[in-house]
Amino acid sequence: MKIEGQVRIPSGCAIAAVISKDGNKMSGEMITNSMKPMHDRSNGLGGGFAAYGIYPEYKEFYALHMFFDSRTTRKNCEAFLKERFEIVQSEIIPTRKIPAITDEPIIWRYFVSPLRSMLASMQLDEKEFVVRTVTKVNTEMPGAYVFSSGKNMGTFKAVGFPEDVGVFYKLEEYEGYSWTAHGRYPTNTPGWWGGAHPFTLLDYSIVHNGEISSYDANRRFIEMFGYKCTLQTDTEIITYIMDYLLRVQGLTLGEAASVIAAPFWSTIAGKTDLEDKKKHTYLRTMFPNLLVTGPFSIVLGFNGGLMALNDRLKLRSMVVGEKEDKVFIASEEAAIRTMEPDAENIWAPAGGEPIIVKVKEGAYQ
Amino acid sequence: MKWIDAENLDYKTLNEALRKADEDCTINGCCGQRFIAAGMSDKTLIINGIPGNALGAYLNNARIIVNANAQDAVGDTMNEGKILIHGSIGDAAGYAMRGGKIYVRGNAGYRAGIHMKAYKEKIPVMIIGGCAGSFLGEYQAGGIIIVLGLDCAESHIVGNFPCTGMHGGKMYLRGNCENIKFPAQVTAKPAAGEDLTEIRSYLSEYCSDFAYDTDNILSDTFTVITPDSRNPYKQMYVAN
Repeated sequence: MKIEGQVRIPSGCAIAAVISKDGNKMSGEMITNSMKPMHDRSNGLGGGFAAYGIYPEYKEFYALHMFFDSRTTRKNCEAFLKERFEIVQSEIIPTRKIPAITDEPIIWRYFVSPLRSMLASMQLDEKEFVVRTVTKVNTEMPGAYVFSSGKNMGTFKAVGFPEDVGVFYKLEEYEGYSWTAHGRYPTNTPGWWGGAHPFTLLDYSIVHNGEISSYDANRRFIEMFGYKCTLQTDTEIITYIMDYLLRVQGLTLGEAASVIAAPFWSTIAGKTDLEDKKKHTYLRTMFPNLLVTGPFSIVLGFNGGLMALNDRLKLRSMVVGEKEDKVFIASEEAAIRTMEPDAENIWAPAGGEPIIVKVKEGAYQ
Repeated sequence: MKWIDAENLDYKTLNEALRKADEDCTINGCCGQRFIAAGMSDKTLIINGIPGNALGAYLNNARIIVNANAQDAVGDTMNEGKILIHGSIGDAAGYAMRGGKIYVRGNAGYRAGIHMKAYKEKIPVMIIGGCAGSFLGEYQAGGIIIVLGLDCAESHIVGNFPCTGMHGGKMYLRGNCENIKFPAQVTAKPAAGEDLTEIRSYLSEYCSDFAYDTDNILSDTFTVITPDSRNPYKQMYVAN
């Protein structure tokens, strides 16, 4: 089969998320079921989930989730990883054989800690070191792909419908305080395991419904900072942009949202709050190349919270609801009702209006 | 009245059951099934639960009552009939509708009434009881859109960029709309005389559907927006 980038397929997607503000753990069953009423938004060419708080016993270690095309690739990659990390645990990610999911690669996970000597010699902090290592594997090792690299979180993705992917990865056996989900309907590229959402780097994960018109403008800018767009699918760029804005540049979530979904200049000109006007003018001037145009609704997951955001024209649907300690986000209200029939305060955020939900201090990990 | 339990039914099965029924139907446990009552002409349908996208697409004189919220693209390209929503609706409601009525008690998402049109004696009417999102009446070519803004601050009755590309039909917003920025190719003025007479029967029907007092609502100021043919729509998306 041809992989992403070798073929163009001219399409929708489904996203969903749930988070407990109290840090209460939920199994992956609820988020898996939420994808069922949105079945027709996907076409079976990709489904995936991100889960936060699932590895408390290894919370000090980066959890590398990896796909390999062969045993040899895995052995070679492990040798490479051992030069850079202390590997405290390495194991197959448990899966269930089901007819709906076939042709799986070798799926492995490693809990690792960067070698102090490597950090010292490369003069890098831990996170930057992990980012560079992930980028190196994904660009230089054919057949090996790191698809998750955060602490106490993990993504699980495959070619298939999302509700089947959840069953395949036995998500009912994981307990997390925050979950995101994606059902894929590839618009420009064929489905393959690495091309399924979420796209992650460190603990940042992105699920995305839409198509980015500004992809190449964004790519040319972000690749100047060491990121490599290896998958030729638009969504990965959002993950790198968020890592750059949040981790490298130190912007707040709200500021990052104002960069990628910046208001129109006419909207900024009409603002009466002068501080707000100044801030938006500054952000659009500083980061014009990171304005993401075209339709998108995304959920950004990170340790301790998530952020949902629509493009400024709101060309994709997104609904938010609440119930007690939980906040629900989905492409369709039906998905929220599946998770919580009595969800309250259902509303649709405006285009460019970020919905930021954080677990209260100290309640996670 | 036929009762249909929609739990675990996919949209095809559900719609087949609707088409086969030769009487009015009530759907219970609806959860996201798309295209409900597409093209339907001959029944009244009551929906409990959340109907999926494109509810009543191409509707051809059936009557739909939803006792909750509805999702995106309600009444897409509908021709005739009536859709009554007791909750709120998602984006792009009434997309290119050319006849019939969509009455909503709550709010509308983005792009309500996008490319609404009219045809000979057919005049589609959409009434939103709450507020409407941005791009209300985008590319409106005909028909009537009314937003009442009940229970919402007047400055929020509609989001940004209402009437972008509007070149036909009429829009009515309750209030004097002083803070709303309209594009240059439309004219907004206080509604009076014929303008108000034109919507009175629709509003009284709406008020009777949702138990509001018509005179009370009509006693408020309304702004009517129509395209200005001397200054036609040119462009929106290029110079951003």
